[in-house]
Amino acid sequence: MGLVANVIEAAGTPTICLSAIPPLTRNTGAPRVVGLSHPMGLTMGQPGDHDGQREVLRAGLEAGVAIPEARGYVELPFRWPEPRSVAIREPDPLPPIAQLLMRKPWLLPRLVAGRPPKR
Amino acid sequence: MDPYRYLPFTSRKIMQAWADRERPPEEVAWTPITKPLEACRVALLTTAGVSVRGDFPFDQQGERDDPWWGDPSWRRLPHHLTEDDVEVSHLHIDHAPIEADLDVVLPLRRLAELEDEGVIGAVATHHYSIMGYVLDACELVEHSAPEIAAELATDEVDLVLLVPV
Repeated sequence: MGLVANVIEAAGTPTICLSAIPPLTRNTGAPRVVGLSHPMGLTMGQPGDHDGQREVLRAGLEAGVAIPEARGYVELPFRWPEPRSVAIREPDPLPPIAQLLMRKPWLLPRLVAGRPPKR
Repeated sequence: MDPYRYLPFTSRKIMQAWADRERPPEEVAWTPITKPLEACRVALLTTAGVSVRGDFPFDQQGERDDPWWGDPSWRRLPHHLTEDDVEVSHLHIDHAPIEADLDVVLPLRRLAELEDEGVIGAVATHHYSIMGYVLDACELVEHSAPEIAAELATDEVDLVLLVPV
């Protein structure tokens, strides 16, 4: 996401990246990163929690515009209301790459290293 | 915050390794925000793989056929979408919460409320989606991102918020 933000920003539109995994977003060159400890796929909040979603959106925008220079980072104070074990919602079926690695675990280092097999 | 708190064990290890491996580019782009937020025209970009029903969805079969590949294309989205109008094509997240309430990843209705409250100036005419699982980012960076950037400029967007999943 940082790579995309960097391209958009370079072309003249300011960007703010919300991020649940700030080290990754920051290290890929995002100009403004706002960290948020929310589960995957639930970035803005719980379904139906309109007040909570609006609060996160407003806080993210306000924190982002206040960042004074490139590579700036701010963390939002929100806490997810569910325990971790409930908050992690894995897709069913698992992603194709996860299924592949269960069949061929020796390929895991390639994924970790970001070196897909030649196609 | 623990940035890996909500990832299952293996994903946590992989994301940590990726974050450690990435070195930020020496030059990070910077375009100053020249207006106060209450005057900004704001667009959203989600990585949830959202497409309008009837438009081409993101290619999930391609990824099933080759799990090392992810669809690097992008979609333009109108500003009035709800969960009833869209298809979600992202094989790495649980779709149920998004199908119940699109605003968990693309908060268009919340953004409109912030416009009504005077917190932002205006909701942009168009918004955008990519699909977040793209291991080889070349196509995304060389084609999709510049195309989205050109659209944002044409639409005179003052600020774009990227919402990951």
